[in-house]
Amino acid sequence: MSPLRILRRHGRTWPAENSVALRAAASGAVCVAIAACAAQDELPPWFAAAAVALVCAGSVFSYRRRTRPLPYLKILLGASIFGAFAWFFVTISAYAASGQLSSVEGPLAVLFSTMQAAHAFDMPSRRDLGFSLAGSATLMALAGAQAIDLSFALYVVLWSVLALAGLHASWSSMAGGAAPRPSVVVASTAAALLVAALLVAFLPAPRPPGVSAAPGIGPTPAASATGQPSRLVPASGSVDQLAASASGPTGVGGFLGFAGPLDTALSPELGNELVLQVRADRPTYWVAETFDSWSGRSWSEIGPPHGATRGASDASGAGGAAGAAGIASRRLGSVVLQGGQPFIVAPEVVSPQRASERETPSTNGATGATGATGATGSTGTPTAAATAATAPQPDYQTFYLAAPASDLVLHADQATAVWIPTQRLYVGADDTIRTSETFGAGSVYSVESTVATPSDAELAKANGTAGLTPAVASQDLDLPRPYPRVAALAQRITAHDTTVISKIIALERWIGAHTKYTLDIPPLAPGQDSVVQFLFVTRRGFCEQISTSLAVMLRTLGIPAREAVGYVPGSFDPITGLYDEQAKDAHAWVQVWFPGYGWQSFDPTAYVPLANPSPASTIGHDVLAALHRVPVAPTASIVAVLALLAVAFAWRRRRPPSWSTKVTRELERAARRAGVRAGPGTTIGALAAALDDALAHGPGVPAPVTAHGRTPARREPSSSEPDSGWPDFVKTVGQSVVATADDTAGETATGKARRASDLAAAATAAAWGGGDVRPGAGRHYVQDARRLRRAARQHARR
Amino acid sequence: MTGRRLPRPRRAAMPVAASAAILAVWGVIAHDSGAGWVQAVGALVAGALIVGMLTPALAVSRARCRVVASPLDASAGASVGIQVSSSAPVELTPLDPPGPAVVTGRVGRALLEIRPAHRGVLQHVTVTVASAAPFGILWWTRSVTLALPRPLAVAPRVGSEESSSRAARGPAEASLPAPGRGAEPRGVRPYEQGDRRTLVHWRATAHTGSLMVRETERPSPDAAVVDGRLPDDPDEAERQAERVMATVRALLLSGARVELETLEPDGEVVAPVVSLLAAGRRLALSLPLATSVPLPSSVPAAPSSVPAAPAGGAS
Repeated sequence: MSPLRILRRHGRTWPAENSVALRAAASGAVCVAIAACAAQDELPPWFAAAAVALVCAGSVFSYRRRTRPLPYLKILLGASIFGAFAWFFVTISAYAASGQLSSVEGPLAVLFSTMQAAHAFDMPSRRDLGFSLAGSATLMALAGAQAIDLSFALYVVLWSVLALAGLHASWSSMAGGAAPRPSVVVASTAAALLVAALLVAFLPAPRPPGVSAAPGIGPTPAASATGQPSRLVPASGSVDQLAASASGPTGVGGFLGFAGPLDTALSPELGNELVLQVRADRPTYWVAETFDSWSGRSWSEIGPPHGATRGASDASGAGGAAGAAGIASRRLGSVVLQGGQPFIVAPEVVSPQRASERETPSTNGATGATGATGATGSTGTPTAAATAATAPQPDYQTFYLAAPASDLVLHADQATAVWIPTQRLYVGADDTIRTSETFGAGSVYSVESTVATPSDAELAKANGTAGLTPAVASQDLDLPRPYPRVAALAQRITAHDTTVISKIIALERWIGAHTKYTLDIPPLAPGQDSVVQFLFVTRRGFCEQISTSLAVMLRTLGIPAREAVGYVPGSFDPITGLYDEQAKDAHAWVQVWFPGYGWQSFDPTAYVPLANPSPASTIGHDVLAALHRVPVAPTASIVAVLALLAVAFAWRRRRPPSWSTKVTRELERAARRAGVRAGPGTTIGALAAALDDALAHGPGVPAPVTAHGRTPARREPSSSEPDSGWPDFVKTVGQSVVATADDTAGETATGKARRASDLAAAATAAAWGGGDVRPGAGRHYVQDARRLRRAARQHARR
Repeated sequence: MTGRRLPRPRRAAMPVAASAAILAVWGVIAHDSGAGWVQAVGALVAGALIVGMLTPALAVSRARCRVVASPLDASAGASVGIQVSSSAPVELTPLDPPGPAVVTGRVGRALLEIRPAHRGVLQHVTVTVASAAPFGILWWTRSVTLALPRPLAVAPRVGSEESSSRAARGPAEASLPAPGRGAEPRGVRPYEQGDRRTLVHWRATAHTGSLMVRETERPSPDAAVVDGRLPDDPDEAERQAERVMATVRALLLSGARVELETLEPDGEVVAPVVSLLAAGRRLALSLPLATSVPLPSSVPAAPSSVPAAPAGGAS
């Protein structure tokens, strides 16, 4: 077929579509999709309202003019669509010029909505309505690209219902207006949902790469979707298990919160409320803050108070405000970054020690977010120890805050770049990143981090404090007082271990074997040391006591260690592609320095069993943990589909209506089709007579009435042709009559069936026009049906 | 419904290619954006497309069609309607004999128009059952053979009158009656007193210069025997049957008694025919000379006796 013929074939006038249901479903789907885009802030509310109004008006207009299209309408609509395209390209060009090309969803939504609104005025045929349905799917995809919570499910459900109704209406229109059977609708809808659920559940779902909230950042080919996080769980744990058990068998973190010093003497009360959502390449621990200074009861940051640092930055901000992005201040161990998008927070840029040693001041804009900074700590230096296999890889995270939060910027392992809508960023000496303002609900920022995953063998070769300056090493080895018992215990546990990693593993195993996890800790008396109390008195505690004990024991062994707090990966929502972080997912763990690899995280809480776990609580926990791993949406979809199938099956297997009910229904249905109205007191005989009169003068004769209402009056059914002209239910009547009233011995099955058919024919004839049984007027037709049954029985007995 | 065959998609290239393209683009977008809702909506679209493209095969397989009513007689080349019912809404397209497509619609019944091309006895019709249920995305079709409730006798076409005389023999062969009210033209003769004006032959009048009228004669009261035995070649047999029909029609119109000689499964039959319908039935049953096929018993036999010839017929 030549292109010209193809064009002519597709450009020909298609027949007008008369189905109101199809038109309403298609227009409704478009309106829902536009509303979904507006709900995701891709369309201004006024624009969405106008588009919906235009779609509705256009749908009505095109329906009324479906057989008489206006000749100039296509020109007008084409011009409007051309204008929308022109506006779109101009807008996109402006975005590209300003470096914001990544945020094209809004202009696309405007363009598609405009096209749909224009198209609504010219959709006379079924094919045009199909285009509208497809366009609504595109709009839903645009909206879904920005949806990050389950409230979007409302739009998806609404749109799905309308789209499927439109498809059903389309086929109904193709089939000459035949209404689809309820069973077919249920089965096909269930099948579509089942296929969708299977696709979601079992296809290798594209894992979300780190998506930046700001332009200019994107996933790199080196990013792995299944990269093993830091050394946080036993080696046998899979990534999926990690996401659910990162906070240990307890499933509870227990960190008190991110404010000031970390007081380990307080019991946490953390709830299930959602605090943030994370889109990340891989599940890992997201660090909020690290602590170097241990007082015996609480952890605190090294250096001056945070306010002093901020004051210094503000004082220097005037000079930095001239517009030059870069390091504006480097005082007292904190670095203030200004203006850059992104803020480069790589160690060689912000580490004051490293900067002073190399004397190579750098700027944010010059360094770039390459992610190749190496696995260094904030105070360390990169070395060539990391092999190719364990080379740090860039890892992108986007944080969506669902609740107000402090000024801490979360990140994975070593942050290298931050995209955040703020003017200043403070990077502490311990890599803690803060903003100049606190976060409100709805804040979004993205972070590029480097994640190193060295093996035990590689870490076994990395011992000592190489890479740490003496000052920093002393900070991370410092203890407020001697811990002779703790030191003796640590030395005894690690007596046979020579490497740092083996000592850590030994200490973790000992803690796991000799301590219990509980949030119900006794109060710490003044002067008491929480580590001593935990290791030698109670041996019960939560993540803060457990991780602090490991850090202190490591420091007594001369191994640099510090406390880290943040969030463990919460439950992964496969629909939104986000990790949902609840308040209880806050956690504390230990970071240990390895030369060449930087700070590596260890979570001893993961080894600690619950205190006094009852069998019921253990089983309950396991069940809950298993349930948490189940993807909610696909499972719910499958359950819903199975429920629909069960309902459909039950509907098919329901008890069949009695023959008299069937007779009555068929008669009433035929009467409705013929336009005969039956009052509440109309008997079945009167209705049949009225229908017979109506049909005698009407052109259309419904089949059942032809069989029952007219034929019996002219022809007596005979035993020679028992089945001709009678529907199945009449045979059922006869069979029931034979089974109940005429169970004559010795009669063959064929004879019974023939006799049953004869009896049923006679009974129905009597009810619908015959003279044997004619109920009196004013009696309800159900009573007539009962009489009919009695008459049939009597007939059978005769 | 007999002769079931496997369903096949109809014009599947475009819907399948479009669906594959849509899903591929959607998958790329879902992968690059990483948005779970895009994946979910895409899965819904994929589910609808997959179900919409595959389940019509099931619908076509499950649809049960039958012919509930059919006429006894038809003519080759002329449309005839048969009543077809189906258990589900489907589109029916007659293949053999061909005809236009119809949709059974909400009542589950449709009048299927078929146009037999040749004479004969139809016991089955082959139709294409098509459905796009439940979403109307892709049509699947299946050819089925539907048994007619009673055989359909397809009479041959009525041929041109030029060839009609060649098939007739016997007394009528030499003296074909004149047209109009039982008379056939024989020639022209000079006008005589009392001739009707309508008999004036103007062309002969102009040619001879004197008033000429058509000379007619009444048909013979003896039956004209039309040879309806057909040759072996199907095409030639069809043409011969058409000529026989034309001859029979002309004879019947002239009021002559007509006897038709045909070769039927029971052997050669020479029996009078009183109408073109009866002749068509006989010719529908007529076999080629070298063929012997048993005749269905339910086909109505041709009438064995005819009414008496019109009074005053010519010999």
